[in-house]
This record gives sequence, C-alpha cells and structure tokens, in this order.
Amino acid sequence: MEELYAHGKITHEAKEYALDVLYPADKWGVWTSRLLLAIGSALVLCGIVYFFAFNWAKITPLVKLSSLQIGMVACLIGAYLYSLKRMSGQILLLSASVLTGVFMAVFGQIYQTGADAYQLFMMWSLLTLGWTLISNFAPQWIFWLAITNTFLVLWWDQGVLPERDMEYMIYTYLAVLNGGALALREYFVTDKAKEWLQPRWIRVLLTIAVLLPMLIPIVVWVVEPSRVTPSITTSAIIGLVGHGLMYAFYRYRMQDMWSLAAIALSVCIIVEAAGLKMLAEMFDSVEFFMFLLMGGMTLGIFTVAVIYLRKLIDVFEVDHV
Amino acid sequence: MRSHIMIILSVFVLSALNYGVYEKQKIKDHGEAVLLELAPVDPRSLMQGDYMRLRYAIERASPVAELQSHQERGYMVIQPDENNVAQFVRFHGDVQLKGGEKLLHFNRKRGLQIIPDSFMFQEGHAKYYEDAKYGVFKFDGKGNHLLVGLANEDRKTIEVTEPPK
Repeated sequence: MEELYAHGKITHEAKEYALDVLYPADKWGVWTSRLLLAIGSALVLCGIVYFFAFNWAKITPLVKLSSLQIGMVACLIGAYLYSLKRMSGQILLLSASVLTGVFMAVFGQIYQTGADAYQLFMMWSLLTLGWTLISNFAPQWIFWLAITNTFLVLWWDQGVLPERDMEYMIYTYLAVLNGGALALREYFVTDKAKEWLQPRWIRVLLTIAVLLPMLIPIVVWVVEPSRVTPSITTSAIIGLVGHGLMYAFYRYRMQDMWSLAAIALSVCIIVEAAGLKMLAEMFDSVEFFMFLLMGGMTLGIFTVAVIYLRKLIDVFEVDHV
Repeated sequence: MRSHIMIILSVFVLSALNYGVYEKQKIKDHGEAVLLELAPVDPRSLMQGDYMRLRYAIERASPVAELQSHQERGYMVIQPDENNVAQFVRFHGDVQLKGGEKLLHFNRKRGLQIIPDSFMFQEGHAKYYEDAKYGVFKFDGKGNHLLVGLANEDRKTIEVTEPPK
C-alpha cells in the first residue's frame, strides 16, 4: 500500500481505507482480550487442580465431588449459551474437560483407587474424546493429545510393565499417535470449512511432538550400541524413516521453513551424537584434544545446517515468484 | 447441532462419573469391614498429592507357587479371624465359598499384589499414618472391595485430629 501510494497510483484516502480493511484498528483489542481470556482461564484451572491435589481432609467427599460437578455443569451451560462457534464457548468446554480430570483425581483420592495414575488418564482421555471431536478448537485437541500421551507413557510404565527388550516401543507408539494427529491436521487444513486448523503454531507444536519420540531412540541407538535391544532398533528405524518422510513432506509437498528447521535441528543432534561417540572412542586418552575437535565439529554441523536452510529459503522464494 | 451433541456427551460424561461414585459409595456404606495386615514398607501421585505405598502381609503369606506361572490375575479366598483380620484360605477355584469367606482380587505383575497398593491423604498428614498396622477394607458380596482407611495396632481406624494450636 505504502509503495502504491508512494508511486502515486492511489490517493491518500484510498491508502487509509485499504490499510483499515487489511489491519482493522480493533484487531489488537480482540487479540489482547483473547490472550487475557486464555491466560485467565488457565490460571483459574491451575488453581483448582492444585487446590484438590492437596487432598483436604476436612472437606467432606460429598462437598468436593459436588462442587466440582457444579463447576463442570456451569462450564457446559456457559459453552452452550456462548455456543461453540465462539472462543469463550470453546474455552468453557475445555475447562469442563480439565475439571473432568480433576473430578477423577478426587474420586481416586476418596475411594483409594490406587496411585497408578494411568487408569485416571485413560478414563480422562476416553471421556473427553467426544467433546474434543466436536470442539473445532485447536487447544482442546492439543490438551486431549497431551492427556493421551501421558496415558500411554504411564500405562506403559505401570500397566504393561514391559520387559527390558520392549521398553523402547513406547517411543514408536508416541510417534505414531502424534504423527497421526499431524497427518490429520495437514490433510484437513486445506478444507475451507476447517479454518480453525490454520494457525501455524499447531503445525510447529505437533512437529516437535512427533520429532521428540523419534529422536530419543535414535540417539540411544547411536550412543550406546552395546546396550541396544530390539525395541530400540525398531523405534530408531521408525524414527529415521519418520524423519525422512517429514523432510520430504515439508520440503516438496507443503513447504514450511519452521518444520524444516525443527527437522534439521533434530538431524543435527543425531549427527552430533554420532560424531561425539566416534571422537570419544578415537581419542579416549587425549581428552583435551577430543573436546577441541568436538567444538570444531559442533560448529561445522550447525554451519552446514544453517547454510542448507538459507539455501532452501532462496529456493522457496524462487518457487513462489 | 454441535451444541446438541455436546449436551448429549455431557450427560453421558456426568452419568459415568456419578455412576462411579454411586458404585463405590454403596460398598463404603453397606460393605462388610475386614482388616488386612500391612507389611512394613513414601512418594507423591500426579494430581493427587501425598500417598503411602502399601504392602499386605497376606501377599507374602499366600503360596504363590501353587499358581500357574502364566496366571496374571485372580481371586484368593480369605476368612476373617476372631479379630476380624483377614487370613489366607486358598486360591479361588471351583470350590464354593463357605460362610464368612470372601474373595479378594489380586494381580501378579510385581509378585503377588493387592490393589490398591497405596493410601492417599492430605499433604503433611503422613505422621498420623506412620504407625498404621492394618488396612480397613469394605467388601460387597460380589468380590469388589474398597480401602476405606488405615487402622492402628488396636485395630481402631485412624482418625486425623488436628493438634490444638
């Protein structure tokens, strides 16, 4: 606009009008009010979680359970009245989902259902799945994924009690769960009716959530080959394939610098781990020399990554022109 | 449309939660109390605060070798003695229960184990439960049980009394 105006193509009024349409004056107000709404709700919910985690002996079970249910019902009525099309309604539904978990935690305290929390997270995930499906609200999905990830980790640890050989399979499960979520997001994001999937932070967050469980088994595989079990090998191979798939997707299908940067960082960590392992074995006795080489190697790896990413930016810009 | 689905789901969620409460409360109110001796054995649960790990004497007294090695869970038959403390009778099989005998569920993930293996209490109340000798259980007729409190050496349920300030 400024350029058009500077070249005398449009009048001053036209410039002002166009800028007002592009960046409405009240935009920052809407943004601030949404931010405050989100932060405020998060803080209130944290307060409630910590209050009940204390397990007050003097509050009778009936009061605890009914006050939480009144809170849930109030949130749900609010969500109905505001409607799920508005952010206030969606946040109220998310609050009801959080309170469901608090209710089950308190239920567990009162009836001593055992400290193995995986059942709590399992029920929490199941009971809130329906609300999540209809919410059309990205934070609700992220919340549900967080609970479900927690359930899988706790269940693996407390419920399945895997043999040493199988311990690392959990990373495959987590990568598949989060990878599925990311794939669904990328599949539906082009759908005009699903505008709520648009924000970029969803992709970045999910990319990290997929990369982490793929990265950890690979690093273990590289650093401690002597302790490798079948599950580490499986998870590491799946992780490597996953890295390749994600790279191919964000390089050629949906070009996205943020995701590529995250993948590049992940690959840097893997190469770094492999390099450290090799140097540590080669220069076992001359430590000072080893650390010197490590420094140089680190600089080298990250320089290559940055040069590559900068090159990609140029390629993408050419593509877009 | 979505709002209506939400209401239906909400009714479902709330009924599920309340049914859970109803079931447990029924055992708590009407179940038969039996004590289980604790074996001498303290951590913190996610979202639920302080708790105490419990091991039961009956877990050690039971002849685990009698079980098939692949059997991961099952019921044992217990019988309260004159002090209302549960004693191991046999592993539950085809034999009918006699008067006074009760079923107790166990699993065998880390040796023979009775659930719940924990007792949750208000943060900082660990001192009241330090001398606990028995777990107070309520049983219904169908093999369900609930841990309702801990009892001391005199087999009295421990009540938390705030010290005078």
